[in-house]
Amino acid sequence: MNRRAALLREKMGDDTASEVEQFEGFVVAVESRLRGALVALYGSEVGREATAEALAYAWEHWDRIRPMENAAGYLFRVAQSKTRRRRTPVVFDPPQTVEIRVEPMLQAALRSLSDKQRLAVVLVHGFGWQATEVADLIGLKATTVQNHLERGLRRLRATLGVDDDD
Amino acid sequence: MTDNLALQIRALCDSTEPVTAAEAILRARRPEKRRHHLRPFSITTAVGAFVAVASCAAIAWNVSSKTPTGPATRLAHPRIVLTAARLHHILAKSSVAASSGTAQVTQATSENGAPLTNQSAAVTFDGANIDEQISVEPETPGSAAFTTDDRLVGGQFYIYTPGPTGAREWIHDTNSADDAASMQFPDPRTLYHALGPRGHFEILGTSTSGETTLTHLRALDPGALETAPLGNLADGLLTSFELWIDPNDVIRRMAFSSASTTVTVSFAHLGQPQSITAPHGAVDVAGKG
Repeated sequence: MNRRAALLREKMGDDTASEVEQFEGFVVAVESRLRGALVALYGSEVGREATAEALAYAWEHWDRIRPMENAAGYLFRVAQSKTRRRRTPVVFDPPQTVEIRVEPMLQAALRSLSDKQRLAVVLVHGFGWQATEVADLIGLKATTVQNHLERGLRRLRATLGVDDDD
Repeated sequence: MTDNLALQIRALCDSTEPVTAAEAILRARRPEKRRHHLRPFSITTAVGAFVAVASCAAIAWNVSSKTPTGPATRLAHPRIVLTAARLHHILAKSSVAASSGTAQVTQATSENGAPLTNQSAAVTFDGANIDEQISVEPETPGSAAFTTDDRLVGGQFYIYTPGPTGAREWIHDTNSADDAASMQFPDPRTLYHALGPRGHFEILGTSTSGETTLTHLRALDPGALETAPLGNLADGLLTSFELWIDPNDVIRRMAFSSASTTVTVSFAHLGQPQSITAPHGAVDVAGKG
């Protein structure tokens, strides 16, 4: 039993501790990918907030979520339904590392992409996801994701004036 | 010189703190009642079920015999809910009628009624061939609209967009795998399949469009409708779905909304052959996928 489960057991009672451990394992398995996609879609602040809301929803409906084959994909759609698009554009927080020099126009260039193009570019090109993994999460065909990736990269490179070889 | 683009993207988009299970549990509204919560009582579902039962004896749908002209007319009798067989008939009739024709598709995102982004497409279709002339308004005010033309001819996909030379030109994707999915918008005719077996629609009234009387239908439980056929036109569960059908049960107009997106589709020239040909001088590019 981990320490966090023990503390929650004290708060919530013994009956739920094992479910907490199961839920923790679930969060470990899906949180990074879910957050990556929602940040790519909505920006840093709104994306993280959407991730937290989706995982809270998962806990509230844990009995139904737990056996799902593609729970992450379902929670992605839940997050979309719960998140209201704001007037402010998609904003990414400044990079935490100074070792990577980021093109100043990259934020604006990413914003100029459609939502699906930005998702494909960030997740596939940026984080190395497979197109099938993106497809499973956001509910598109892998070939559609590939096409969004191609169009998005083409537009991104044209905007930034970089070559195909990056 | 800036670093590799992939590294830059990762650095820019990977700066948020992870969400922990504890945070999710504490954020959940009533975690201590999760094990004891009752299934939420859905007024819409209950009313819909009651009306569906009460309407079984009133399935004879003869709205066409009550066809006033002019503005939309609300029917002065209890709610009429269509049977699954009726919906299936509408789907079948529409699919047959829309072998060729045109459609106008608009997609708008908004916040509290204020528009954010808009894109539209003038679509022409004839059998499996389809052409979409797309205009996307920019998210950043003052920037130019992004226009493109997607075309599917004989299973081959073409797009009019900046190409390898930087100039706008027709590009032919020589990788023909699942080219229909390459189109910016799904084929409007595939949207019919959102109706599916779970759809429950009520009749709202009639209106006149030109010389045609249309019957206005609305989904009672839009969240239960299939969203997969809607592709990128829906960003989550549907919050509304409406249809307008002509006296031949052919869908002439659709309007549906999801989290922050509203889409309208208007069909015209149904059954009239359309000329959709491969563009001359397209540059061959091997698309990935």
